[in-house]
Amino acid sequence: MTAAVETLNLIIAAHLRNASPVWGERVRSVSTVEASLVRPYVHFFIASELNEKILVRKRHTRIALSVKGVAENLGEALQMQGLLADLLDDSGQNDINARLPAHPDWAVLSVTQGRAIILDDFFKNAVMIYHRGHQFEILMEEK
Amino acid sequence: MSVQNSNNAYLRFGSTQLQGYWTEQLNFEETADTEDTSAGAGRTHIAREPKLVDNKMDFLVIYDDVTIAQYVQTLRAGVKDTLIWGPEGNASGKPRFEGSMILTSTKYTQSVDKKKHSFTLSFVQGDTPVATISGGDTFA
Repeated sequence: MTAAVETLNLIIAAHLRNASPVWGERVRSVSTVEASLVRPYVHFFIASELNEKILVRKRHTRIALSVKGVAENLGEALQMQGLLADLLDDSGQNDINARLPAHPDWAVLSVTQGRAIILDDFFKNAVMIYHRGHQFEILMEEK
Repeated sequence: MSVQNSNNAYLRFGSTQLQGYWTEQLNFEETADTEDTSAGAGRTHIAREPKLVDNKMDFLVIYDDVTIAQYVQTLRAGVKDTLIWGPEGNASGKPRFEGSMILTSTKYTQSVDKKKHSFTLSFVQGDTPVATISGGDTFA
């Protein structure tokens, strides 16, 4: 059985890749992002994972997933933040607008938008890089 | 020996096993009220005798959209049937409660902040139990 975090990585990548012409196929998890990746791109990573005991004989896990757009101008980063929220908030199978790809091992029950990610950092040659996105609270259930 | 912290409960009401849908916790209470039997002049203290023993139980059952059809008929208030509970499962020799109980309340909760949906089932004793934990009864 695939681990919940690995399953979520696959689902999120499949859902976001080419979902917008702003970033095209440039959607990367923390372990796959390459230094040469052209901005703008989408970057996501697991912030935390906690086992949640709901039923005796079924595993549930609650994951905090950070998803952000990385761009060289603030307007584009903010646009990506909005697009990513549109694509992910309330996208679980028990939510009001289920739309995530299915997986044979785990079901994503709910996706809830949480705190915003706001990060500006200087890159080489004093280029400013803007990170904008949200942390999403995700509840998963083993099938 | 081992101090019990297990969640390996066995739960059946009527013909429906519920332990697969049980969530959070269950509460069982065996009680005996008392009767003031003080009598006579010159007494300085109250005397009491125990009244009849009563049993109550409540537990929560999850709303599972795939399997709810298998147990939803069990959630109807006003039904009197046999409730069997084994705090360590239902293997031979494990403690057993079994008795006629009445489901007096089915309370359902749903919240806008995406907490799990569950039914709170409350039971009162319908008749003298067939088997009790405190009586040392076990599964055959």
